[in-house]
Amino acid sequence: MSINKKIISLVVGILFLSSLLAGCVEQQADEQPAAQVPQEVVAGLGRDPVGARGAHPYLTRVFEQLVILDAEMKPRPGLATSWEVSEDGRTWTIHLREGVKFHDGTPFNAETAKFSLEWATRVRPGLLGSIDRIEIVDDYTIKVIHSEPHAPFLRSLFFAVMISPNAIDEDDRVIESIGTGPFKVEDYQPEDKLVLVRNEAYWGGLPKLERITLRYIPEATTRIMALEAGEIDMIIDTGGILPEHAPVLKANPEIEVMTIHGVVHHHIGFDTTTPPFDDVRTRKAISYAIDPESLVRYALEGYGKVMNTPVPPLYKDWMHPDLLFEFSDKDKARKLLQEAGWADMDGDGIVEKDGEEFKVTMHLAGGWVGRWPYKTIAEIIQSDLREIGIAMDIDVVDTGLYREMMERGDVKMTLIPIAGVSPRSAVKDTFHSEGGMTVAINPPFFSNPRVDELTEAAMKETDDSRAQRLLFEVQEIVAAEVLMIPLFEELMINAVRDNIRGYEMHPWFVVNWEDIHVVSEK
Amino acid sequence: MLTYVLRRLGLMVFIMLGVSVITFSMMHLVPGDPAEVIAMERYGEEITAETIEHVRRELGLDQPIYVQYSRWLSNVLHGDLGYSHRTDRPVLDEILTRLPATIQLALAGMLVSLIIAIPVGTISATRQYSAADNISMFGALLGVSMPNFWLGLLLIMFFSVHLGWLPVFGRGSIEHLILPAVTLGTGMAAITTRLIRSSILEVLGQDYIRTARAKGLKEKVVIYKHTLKNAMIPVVTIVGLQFASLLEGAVIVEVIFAWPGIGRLLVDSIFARDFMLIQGCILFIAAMFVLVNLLVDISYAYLDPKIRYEVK
Repeated sequence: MSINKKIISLVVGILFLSSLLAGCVEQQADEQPAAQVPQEVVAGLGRDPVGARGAHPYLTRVFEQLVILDAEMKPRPGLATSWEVSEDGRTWTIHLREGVKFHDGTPFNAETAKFSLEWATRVRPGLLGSIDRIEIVDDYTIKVIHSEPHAPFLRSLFFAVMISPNAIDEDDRVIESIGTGPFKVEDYQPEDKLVLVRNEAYWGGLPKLERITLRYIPEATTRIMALEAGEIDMIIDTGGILPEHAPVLKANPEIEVMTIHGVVHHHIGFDTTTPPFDDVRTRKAISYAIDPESLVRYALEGYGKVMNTPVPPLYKDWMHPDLLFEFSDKDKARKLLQEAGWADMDGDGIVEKDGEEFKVTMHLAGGWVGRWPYKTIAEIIQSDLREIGIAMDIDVVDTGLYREMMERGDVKMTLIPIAGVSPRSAVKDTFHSEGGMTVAINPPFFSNPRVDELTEAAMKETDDSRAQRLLFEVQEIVAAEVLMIPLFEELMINAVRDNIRGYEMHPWFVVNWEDIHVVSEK
Repeated sequence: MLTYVLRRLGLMVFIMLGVSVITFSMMHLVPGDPAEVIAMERYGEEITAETIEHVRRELGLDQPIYVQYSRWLSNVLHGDLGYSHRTDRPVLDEILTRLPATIQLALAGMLVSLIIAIPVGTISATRQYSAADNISMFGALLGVSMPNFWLGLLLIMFFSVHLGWLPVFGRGSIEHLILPAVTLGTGMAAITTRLIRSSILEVLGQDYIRTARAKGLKEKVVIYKHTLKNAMIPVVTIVGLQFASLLEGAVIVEVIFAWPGIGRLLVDSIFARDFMLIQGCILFIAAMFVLVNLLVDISYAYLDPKIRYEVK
């Protein structure tokens, strides 16, 4: 055996031994009974988990709702055990869970449930539809009576938390976070940390974790480094990890990177009422000019998924089964522009019509640019449009100004996120001419009487399959008219250290704290 | 001296009044509907026009601007800075809970910068154009040019992630203070070093220093007793101003190290358009600034008897 071979075999031997030892250590750690490991975790967030309405219900689970939405965004019993809706779709009878107490000892019953729902309708009018009155049937049954049918009612209950009457002052302000959830608030330092301890009297059984500390770390890079250094155990929440940071964490064997399709999806919006986008051919030309695949690849580093209808795949049953939109065919795009009367007469690469060049500005809201790579996306679209002879400018404006410009009709083209809390309202909020419930998102961009009729009918139609057919037709009209261009749905990225078990991501970033536990010390 | 201080305090009232008018009108000149912003902040993005009107009435935003201002001012004079729209907590509480963190970081940053700046500045001035001088001036240039966020992240990467010696973020023990204070202090030290150097050089050229040397005093005594004290007056002004600006919060350092200070409070409230909180913060910061300036002026009197005489 030559010296070289000896050295190689020695090195291989050492490597083999050390891997065995490493295996032993790991195994020992795993075998350690969970009871001996302190059941405490520290999670990093990019926002303060306490707002004006108390501890964030989805991030902290301090509060619970009558109805929860599962990982497929389907309604499941929460503090309500079952429910029925009347024939006319106006009266909902809700049966409540018995034996549940708020953290302050107040019993949860028909009276407190009514109180919470009434508070929710006062602070968020319209959230639960047009409620006429709430009646107490018995200790654990309430009746919610609407003045007209509101089909997404069950889902909207997910956004109304059950809160102890002692937690609210006469101005409807939350003075203390008193809910019924598996964890209760122990300490809160504004914009720093929120400490939760388990609720020993939780109706759903004793949670495994004894204490949770949620740390607000505003800087994304610091969050990543805190996780790498083991100072925090997990990064949760939407936007917690930026796509560009994911590869660093993936390379770290002590960290597991998780992704899930969220409820937020993004599209190009047009002002379809004024030139140049009042002509369907120009809108169609834009959709042929762009390539959503490359947006996902380059702007999102792959952390997104191309969409082909305005309904996100999360609501599978509500998504039109056909691929409605067509993309990436620059020749077709040029042909359509020509048909619409646009041609490059002076040879400068920009098409003209009636002596005017095709110049358009894409306005982006400052607040959204900070949360999604809208600028990069806009730049890619800009270069795509340049290839078919359209000169596009990009203008990032303050969010307040953006909304004002939208209302005034000063925005011709933009990028918009849609967060669909329910398929019915997501579609109505986006395409109904009056903007539906979401003033924040829907621009008064399009007005199509048939779409108005269909979305209104869907809101009242309590039968899902019938409502789905109504919304299919809306999707067909939207695609045929190219009222918007769906770009992608985003992949939410979270990460946990390898000694944390049981965390499941949820599209509406609900954290399943009661299932999470620690298997070994860091 | 007392009348001087009282006069300055009286002037402060007018300055604060001016600041309040300017901030208040600026808040109302920026585009966007405050009622809508607040409603969204409170109730999420799924809000109706009804909710917005409800919020507008509740906060009195439907009143003419001068009514809003006089109401706000009278509340402020009664010690009520209003409520933060974002957290629904009193603005004064929000500011006061962050004040200790801000003062702690400001003092620690100051300390780091002085520990570096005084010896380095003195050495480079007394050995002008030597290798030590060149190195320290190059260091100062580096310190000034290095952006805080870059240095901060680099320090975290090295000392926290790789070596595991110091915590990455947050406020708590003394260890938590080291990295933010060093990050903050380094940039400041660079400016102060150069200032101390030039100030000492100027004093060294004075006649009384020549006299001191001619008397046969030891160089040590000349430097420590005669030069340093006289060179400190411009330094105190700048350091005082630096400290005052630190009390506004070292925004970048606070964001990087998740330090719960006033700077972050202000920036977050600007992003969230938390009008009451922005007004409160600016008023508070202005008051701090004026106050620290006053303290700096008073401290001159102790450093330089000539100024004390003039004040009288």
